[in-house]
Amino acid sequence: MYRLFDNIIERDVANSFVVAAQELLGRLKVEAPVLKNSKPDIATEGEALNEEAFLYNCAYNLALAKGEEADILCIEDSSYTSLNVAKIMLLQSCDLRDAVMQRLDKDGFKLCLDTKVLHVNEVLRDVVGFDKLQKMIKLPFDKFNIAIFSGNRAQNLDLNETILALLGTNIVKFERQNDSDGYEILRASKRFAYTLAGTVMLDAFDNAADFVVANDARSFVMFESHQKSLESCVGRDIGLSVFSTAQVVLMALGCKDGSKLGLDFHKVATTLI
Amino acid sequence: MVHKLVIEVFRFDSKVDYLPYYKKVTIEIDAKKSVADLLALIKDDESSFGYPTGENAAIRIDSKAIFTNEKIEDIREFFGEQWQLDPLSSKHSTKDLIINTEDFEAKLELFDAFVDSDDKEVYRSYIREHYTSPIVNLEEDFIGDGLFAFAYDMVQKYPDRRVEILESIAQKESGVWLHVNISNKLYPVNSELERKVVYLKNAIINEPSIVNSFVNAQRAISGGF
Repeated sequence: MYRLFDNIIERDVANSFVVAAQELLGRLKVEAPVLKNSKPDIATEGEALNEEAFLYNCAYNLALAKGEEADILCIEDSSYTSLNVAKIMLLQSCDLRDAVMQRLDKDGFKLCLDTKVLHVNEVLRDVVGFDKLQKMIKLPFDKFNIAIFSGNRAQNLDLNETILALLGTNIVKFERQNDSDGYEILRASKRFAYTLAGTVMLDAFDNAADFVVANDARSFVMFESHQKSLESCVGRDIGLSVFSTAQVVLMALGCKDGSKLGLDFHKVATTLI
Repeated sequence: MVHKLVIEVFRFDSKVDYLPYYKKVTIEIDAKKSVADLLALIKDDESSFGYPTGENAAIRIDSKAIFTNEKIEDIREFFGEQWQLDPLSSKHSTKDLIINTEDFEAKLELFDAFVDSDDKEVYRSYIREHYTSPIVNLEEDFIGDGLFAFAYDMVQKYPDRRVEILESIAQKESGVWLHVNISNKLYPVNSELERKVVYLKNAIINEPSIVNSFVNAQRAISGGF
């Protein structure tokens, strides 16, 4: 049993992750109702300001899912990383564990670190299966060069690339694919944050990418929602669409409905559909 | 075991060159040797070639910042057989892989009042962190990731100086708030700096005597979680 974690960081502007993942899972007959009453992912940026709140939110969500005897299904990288990092931190530190347990106790929950946390890409591999997925492809992406932005993420990188390659995409290498997207310094300096993000996008553009794939809500916000600001900062037009892997898979499966793809939450117009 | 490498080496002499260029060399080296030995072999053929030496000597291989005491046998699987060698910061290159580290050394003045010579050596071990952050190239006054890692160490060593140390890195325009994650820009990948920065930011937020408008704003956000 899965519970889809939809309380992602920057949800108001990055809701395309939720919409597209729900549509994709529905088409693939993977049942994953939303994990209701969850606490928001405050990500590593929140951890840096209030470590205890970060751990509490994650522990609360793990306990909530456990109460429903379900695994948590993450639809983007930030929440996936937060929940997994929190599990490790709580396992390693008695002090942090005690503090979080006390707060959970007040909510009537028990700390539970054995709740499984899965990424939607893992479900595509392990539950749906690549053979089945490949047979369902109606619109292969073999005419497209795509740039995958990984930033500092270390988990699931090969899996993401495998899924996108399965759709026929030509994955371009670009020097800035592991750079900072700038989100982490957005509050301290918009100018520097936009410069970092703009430099990444220009590098993707200059390496002939037709679009960028980013699976972290924070990267999406920087590259897509703020793209006009990036252009002003780096002094060049960018005009590159940014999609999640789930959106690209959906398009490959033949989905042309912008609303179902979550494109209502995109600012950069796309010519792909 | 002998390892054959095809290497593109960054060449630049600030006294005569306007732009840097890369020179391709093919080298066979015993896998038990280090990167420093490899650089010495390059110099055997190119006497004018400059590279950093000493305990904290570091360069970039395929854009990853790495100490030159790493053994070839430990890194060849990761980097393969074709390498690009660059200085830690091409902007600071004076002669090939040697860089001018005056700005890195100058940042230590912030803690001059209490650090000793052993402490200074610890700081110098963070040269990779300093030059790997992209913010160094954007903001001249940026204190630097090397100093943030060092600040954490000094808070542990000199607890009486805790507030003073935290206050010195708490400015919006130059402090720890401009840190970006560089874990996978280092070889091997190292998230120790991230752990230290999380500690420092939390410590600043929880230290009521540190007051500036940006810290106050972060405190307000933190309280809302």
